[in-house]
Amino acid sequence: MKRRIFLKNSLIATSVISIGTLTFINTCSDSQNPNNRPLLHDFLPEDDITGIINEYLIQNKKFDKLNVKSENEISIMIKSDFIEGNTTICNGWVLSQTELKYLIQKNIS
Amino acid sequence: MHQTLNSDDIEKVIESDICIIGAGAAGISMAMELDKLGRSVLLLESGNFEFEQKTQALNKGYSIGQAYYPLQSSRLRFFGGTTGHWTGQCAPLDDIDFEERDWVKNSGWPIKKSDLDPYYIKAHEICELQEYEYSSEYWEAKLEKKAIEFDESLVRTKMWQKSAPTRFGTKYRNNIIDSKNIRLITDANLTKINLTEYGNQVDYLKLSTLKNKTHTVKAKAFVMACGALQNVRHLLNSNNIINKGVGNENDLVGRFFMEHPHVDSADMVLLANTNMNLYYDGSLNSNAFGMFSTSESIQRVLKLQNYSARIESKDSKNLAIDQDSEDVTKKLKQWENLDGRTKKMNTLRKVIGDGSTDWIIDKFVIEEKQRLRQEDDKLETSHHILNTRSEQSPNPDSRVDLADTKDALGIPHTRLNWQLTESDKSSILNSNLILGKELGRLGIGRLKINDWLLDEKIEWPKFLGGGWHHMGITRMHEDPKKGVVDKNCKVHSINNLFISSSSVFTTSGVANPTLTIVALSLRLADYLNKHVARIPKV
Repeated sequence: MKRRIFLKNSLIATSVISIGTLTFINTCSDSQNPNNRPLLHDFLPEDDITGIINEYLIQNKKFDKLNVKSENEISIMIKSDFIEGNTTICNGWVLSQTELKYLIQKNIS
Repeated sequence: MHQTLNSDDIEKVIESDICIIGAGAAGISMAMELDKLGRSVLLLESGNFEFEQKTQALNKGYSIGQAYYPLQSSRLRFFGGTTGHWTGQCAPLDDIDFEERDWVKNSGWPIKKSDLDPYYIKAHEICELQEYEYSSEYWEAKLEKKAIEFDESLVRTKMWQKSAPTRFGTKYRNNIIDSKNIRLITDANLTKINLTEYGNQVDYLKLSTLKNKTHTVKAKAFVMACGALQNVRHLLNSNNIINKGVGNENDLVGRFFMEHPHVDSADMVLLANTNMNLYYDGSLNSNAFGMFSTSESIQRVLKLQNYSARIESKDSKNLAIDQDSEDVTKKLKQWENLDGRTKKMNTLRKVIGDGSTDWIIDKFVIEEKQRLRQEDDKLETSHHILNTRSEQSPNPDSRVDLADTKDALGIPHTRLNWQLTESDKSSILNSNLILGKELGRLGIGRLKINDWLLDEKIEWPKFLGGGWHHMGITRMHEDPKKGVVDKNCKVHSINNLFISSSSVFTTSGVANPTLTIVALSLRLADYLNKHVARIPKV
């Protein structure tokens, strides 16, 4: 009897810990970027974001969507853009090409 | 020993070995150094120990090019000179500033940074600075502050040190007056440099008081340390033998005027957890502080001029305007009703500076303003203005000459035509781009470049700030067709005339000039000590 209760309690405890751990990992993956790199929409004031979007739409008739799965991936690409000089100026802001496209995509989709 | 030229006790013809004209940072430093070396010195100063409006008015001049500060107030004309109002920010020039760079026309000093290093060390003592160390690593350890981890092949943290600031007129007054080797004569205005008939040697100087009492000075060697603008003014005005002016056979005196354009060139948003405590914060309370600068390697690769930039809080700068807004006023009233905050509201205080009114706000209010501006679900950030202080390229069309009007002593006023070039602007833009990319790479913020910098149709903002740094107008070069003085600061065509001033700078760098002025003056003192005996007698 005691052994049955122990096994049952252990199973429950393991499930709870696993769920908690998985949730934590998923949380890290989905909403935290490597090296805690926030994206533009995380910190730039809305007025500035609006200014960037408006300027982009005036200058560009076409918009190619980014084919990415997560903000994690976006963040890695942004860092790479800045390292490789794949940058642009939009409404005066010095931005990564990827982060600009993602900002537009996020706001007009 | 001190006398005033107003006194009746002074001989009509004053004689000396070495005569220094001007008792500012350069003149006082040289006089003290020559005193230590056992040389006798005559030190002449236009003003006296206290500021006097009538003497200061002799500095009046005009500006006809890029809008500039009133020339009358940009230099002080009394014992101690412009150290009477400098802020004390000090840094040596960089190695690259001395090099001949093919992308900076007319660059290339005839000396290297290493030639000045021993004198920079001595200059540190005179300017009451700490050890001659300018690496960010050194100051990070000493101040226990952190620099931003820039890619140093692109952006570096350039360090400045902060002098008290040393007011040379106060600090060194007794050193000068009590010295047996130094004869200080105040109220002594230079009115003419008279050359011998062959035009290759100074025969004598003409001096005058404001009451037109005149005297003559004869010496083995003469050093002009009046400040850049006044040096040029006297050289050009003394044209009775060489009609273009003393040392001006090749039309170089007054040309290549350089300042450090101080201009708001971008806005910067930084994540609030970015550690900025090593950097300039406006208070100048730290012994040393950093500014952003581009690396020498990227300057070479992208052919950029030297560059530095500091940030100023956008919140405090714009607060006077924001306080008029209804929204902020309403919220300020709400704060007054909150417990524990009323006392903090009472710390609002008004400071008058430079004729304008700035509101200095307790840190709490800045934080509150940021909080009010802070949008829900956004990360906390701080907003700054990026103020760049960059190298101006040597431009012969940027010049100082003489106006048609004259001062109370009959000397033509100075006329400044400050001109900047396209490369000065593009250098700031490209340097800002590098900084912006680094902020992005580090994930600590973003840079928004100001419209005027991106707009090809706009040359410069209507008013550019500067440091009141006047450089280059009697530049140093071994070729008399390219410079007014040689590597020993001797005027090329004149055996016994030397210049100790930022006017001899061949390029401007980004460092405030005072430390280099003092270093050059100490180097010249060394040179005169070794060579004055060889100067041929008149």
